[in-house]
Amino acid sequence: MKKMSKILARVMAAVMAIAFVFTAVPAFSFDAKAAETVQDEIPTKARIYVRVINNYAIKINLRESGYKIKNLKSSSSNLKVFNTYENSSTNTYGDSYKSQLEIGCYARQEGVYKVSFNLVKGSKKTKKTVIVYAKNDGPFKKVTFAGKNLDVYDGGMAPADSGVFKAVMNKGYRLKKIEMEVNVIKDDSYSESSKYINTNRSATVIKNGAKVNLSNVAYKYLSSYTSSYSSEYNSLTEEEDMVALTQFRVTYVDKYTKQEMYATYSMYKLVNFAK
Amino acid sequence: MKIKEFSKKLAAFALAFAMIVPTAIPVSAATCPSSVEVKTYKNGYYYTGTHNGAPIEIALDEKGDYIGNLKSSSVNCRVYRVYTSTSNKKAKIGVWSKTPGTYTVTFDVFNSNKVKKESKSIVVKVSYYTYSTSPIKDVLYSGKSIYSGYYDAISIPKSGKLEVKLTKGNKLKGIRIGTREAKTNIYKYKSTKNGKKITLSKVPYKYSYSSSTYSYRRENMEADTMIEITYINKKKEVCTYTTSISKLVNYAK
Repeated sequence: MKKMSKILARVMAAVMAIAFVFTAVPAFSFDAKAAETVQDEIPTKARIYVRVINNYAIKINLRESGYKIKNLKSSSSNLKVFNTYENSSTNTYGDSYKSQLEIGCYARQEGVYKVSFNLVKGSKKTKKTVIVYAKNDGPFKKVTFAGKNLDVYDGGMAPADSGVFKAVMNKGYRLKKIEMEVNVIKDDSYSESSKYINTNRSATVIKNGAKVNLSNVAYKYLSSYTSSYSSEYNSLTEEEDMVALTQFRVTYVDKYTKQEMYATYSMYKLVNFAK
Repeated sequence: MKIKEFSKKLAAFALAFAMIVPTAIPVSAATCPSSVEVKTYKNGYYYTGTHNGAPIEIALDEKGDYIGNLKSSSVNCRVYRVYTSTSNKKAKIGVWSKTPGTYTVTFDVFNSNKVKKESKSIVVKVSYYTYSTSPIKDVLYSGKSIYSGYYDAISIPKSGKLEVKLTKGNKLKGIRIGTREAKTNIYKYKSTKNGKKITLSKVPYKYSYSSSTYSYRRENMEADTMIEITYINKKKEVCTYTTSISKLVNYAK
């Protein structure tokens, strides 16, 4: 049983590594804002865990549409790679990425590998190389909220309404910041008969080890019209969650790539139910 | 009676008759399941993705219909209307519970004039969906424990015997194997016996879309085989434990 729980802890850690999305931090903040001018994002380094399937280990974001990945190669048979995703948009609105590509990686053992490929658009061809660090150690020794170890998944319900959020890092990983994100209801209603309510996310920076209160605000969307003429013209679309979601985003510097990455922890609190 | 006069009288009679014969108005009824199964964890559970995972979906009959007076038979089973759309003629009820059992959820259906049309009653069966592995002693595939370190997703055999071992006091009720259907990406389940040979799925998640201005394609590296174990625990509660085995099927040679 002891061996079992130890192994399980490792398995859970791996599952959580994917679930908590250890991802490279993009130029944007927690709350997805459109950047004024986007720059091509082509990583030169990537970090993965051993024998953990990562379908988006390498993420490429380009300003121009129509790019494809060709001649994808790995420097070793111990690192398998695959072009798992591509999109292309010729929409003229917005200044977002028009080509997005992803390369999945799977390492059979620890090592430092080279992944090479060509970015191709029509007759244009550029060779790219990414150094992939496949290592077993994770950034966190322990992450807790109200004393509960967040590495063990049991549904995501919060153990208490408030508590201390604390992240203890492993050697070589540096904690950069912790943000707490909650729902904020935005009421853009015109009048009682013409209502519009939506929910945004809002993040604030918190200190490691700080005592925080979980949010009571559940996601809500409402669009309603009540006619003074005839009920035939009435309409109502309403969505409201039973739980309020508080998310903690821990940003840290990876030991190997020296790039910023983050892990997200979600805590749910039951706030809406029929009396 | 002259013919002209007769036909006039006949027409008047026919019209009077038509007006007093009651027209059969069909009774519109909302459609919803009579019972649902909800899985939860010891500390409760909420499906992510707002209303998309809500366990009770109601198809309303007429535009403008909505549900109200939502009640649960017990405080151990919380319910809430998580979605309503009068134009889509749909409503969804979320369920939150951390106590396995059988509960009754009731609500009324109203029309756009706030007149009650009918009452509905749904049986909700709550059981544990747990990652807690204490009842699971081990799960072996092709002779190796699926928990023995991180198995190699490349060299794992395409088929092999599946063996489930439970700890004392827990009784195995059934095992189902889920494999992905290529067309729909949905997992289809088939029952298997403990100790029997199973074949791993070869179908990875795959999805593509294209329009005149936007296209995208996604295809994962691995094919997952879901293993759903249903057992009865020491408290005589029916529990479901799900795990999976991944095999890498897509990679550049």
